[in-house]
Amino acid sequence: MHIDARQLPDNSLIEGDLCIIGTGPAGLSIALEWNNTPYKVILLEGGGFDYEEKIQGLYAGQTTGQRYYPLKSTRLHYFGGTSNHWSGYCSTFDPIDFEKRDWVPHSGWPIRRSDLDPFYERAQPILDLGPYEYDVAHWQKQDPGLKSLLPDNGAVWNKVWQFSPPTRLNGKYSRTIKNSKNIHLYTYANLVDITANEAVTSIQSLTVKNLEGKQHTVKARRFVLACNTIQNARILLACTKQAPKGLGNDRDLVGRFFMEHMQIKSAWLHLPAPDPLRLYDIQPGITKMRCELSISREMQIKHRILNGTASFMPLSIARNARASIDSWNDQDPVKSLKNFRNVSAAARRSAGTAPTTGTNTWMLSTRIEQAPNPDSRITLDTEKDAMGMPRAILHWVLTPLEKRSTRTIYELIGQQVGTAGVGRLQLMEHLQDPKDFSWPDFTSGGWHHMGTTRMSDDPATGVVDAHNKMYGIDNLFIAGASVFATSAAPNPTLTITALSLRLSDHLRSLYR
Amino acid sequence: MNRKTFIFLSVAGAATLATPIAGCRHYSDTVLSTLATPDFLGHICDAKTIGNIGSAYRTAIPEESRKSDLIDILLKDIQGTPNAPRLAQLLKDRVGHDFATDNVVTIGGWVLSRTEARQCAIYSFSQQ
Repeated sequence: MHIDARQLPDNSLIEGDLCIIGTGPAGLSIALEWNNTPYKVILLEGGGFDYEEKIQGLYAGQTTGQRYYPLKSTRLHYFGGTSNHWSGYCSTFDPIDFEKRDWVPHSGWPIRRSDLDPFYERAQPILDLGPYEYDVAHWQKQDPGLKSLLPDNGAVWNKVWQFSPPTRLNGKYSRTIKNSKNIHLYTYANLVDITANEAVTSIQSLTVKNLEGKQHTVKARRFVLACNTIQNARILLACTKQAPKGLGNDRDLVGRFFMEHMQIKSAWLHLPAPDPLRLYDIQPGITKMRCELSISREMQIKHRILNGTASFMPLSIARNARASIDSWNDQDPVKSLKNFRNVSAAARRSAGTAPTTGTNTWMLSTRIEQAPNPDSRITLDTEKDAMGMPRAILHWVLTPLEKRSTRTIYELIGQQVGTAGVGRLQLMEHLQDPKDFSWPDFTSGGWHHMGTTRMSDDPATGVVDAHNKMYGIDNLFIAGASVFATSAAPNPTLTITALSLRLSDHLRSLYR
Repeated sequence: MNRKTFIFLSVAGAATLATPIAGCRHYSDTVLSTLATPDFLGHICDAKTIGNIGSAYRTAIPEESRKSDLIDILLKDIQGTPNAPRLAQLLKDRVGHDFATDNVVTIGGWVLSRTEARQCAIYSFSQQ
């Protein structure tokens, strides 16, 4: 059922068995699992069912460090969250992404990839993806025209991406939630404070507010904070009345280790004859899967590099393409998205109709994980939003490892392309000097925010444990990409959903 | 790329390449032309690019900046005096072997076999 918190009498008390804060992919995928159960689930959303400028304004904040998008524009503050403008790219993390790697500081998760496998499979239909098949052979069997650029080798492999339509969770699931008998969705209920017991070991209640000036109290046996990576950290850091450094922040970890995916044009692939490279090309809205070139575990270990991939774009489009950091440049996410799409469409239009024979020259772009870095972080501003909450400041910081890894990825791909005799690779200028660790101005992020309440098996190095429970608080769980210990290369939504389903199963076990 | 352009310039440049070098064996125009023709790269790059790669290689590897040294290195381990097609095949095989054995250099951003980079370097003398 749906309750507009603006219509409740001021200072209402809302009570349930489980309270989920946030209705993006993390919060909603948990809520849907609890539909038609005997438990009363309180689902809190700060906005309504549509974009509203005043609500979105609560997400405004400063950015410092590496050039970044306007913070207000990168997430959406209404039912369905950022799924309402995501592009639908999905792939699984690799087993190595969960491992402790001695060349990647602060790497290592307390869970393995195999722990997530069943949940990845369950996440597929939620996002309207195809079968849980991320082995290229499966797709090549269905379409033999999807030919690999490279033969099997021990260095570079084809990593499969699947594409969601993209599913807008608002459109797909709002009716289910509204019709649910046991899920009580409260819109216009912004979390502004968390009250714990005297020992600060258990959450007693939440305070939610709206712009109409009403304030309510929410009580539940357990709480799941699923706002988003920046907002989760922001709320915890702002809860200082019982914990001077912020809730769960005794060890100064909350907000640190902010990670993004660098997305940057990086190299040219020159072929002796035109090739459509159908396995790697993408037709927006049509393509169900495609591959990016990825570096093998063995080569990552040998060269001590981060995990990253290379995607393909034909020269005819690439010559007019602009970096997303340049086209996604308005504080207003609606305007930014429109401009971004217009620029992308113009590049495709200017390319004309692609010849079926393909092209000789392809631009390769990097999608690479960021090494966890405590200096890359969310802090609080002295300026407050309309709810009285301190605004977030994002300080995004990269390290030389990202640059060296990016360069090495293309040297390895170039070597395999040469070995196979299929072409030659040319690194772009910003990657040519091995002593240059700077990033060009067109370096873009993937709009993927991760890592600010990281998962660890040790409270000295993480904010939540392997079951997403906050250390030191027995009934507060965190969902979403903020718990990622490392960011891997793929877009995060599929992994966010899988981890949330895993958390949901764990929570269910606690209620039996 | 204009492959024809590259071959034309390459052959025309052989006259320059064939200029006698003090203290060096004299090689035929066809041998020099073959040495200065990176076969695969010639299918994807124009002559100017190959010349630029060659110049950059000579700058990056000063001990291989002399034409005679480059020729000797490329002909080292090649038995007898192969004809041009045979020499071209031997160089092609060596390029493949370079890639497979990590004998790779990155010059001007190009990820190349060391052999073909040396071939570019020899070609670059014809553009001086």
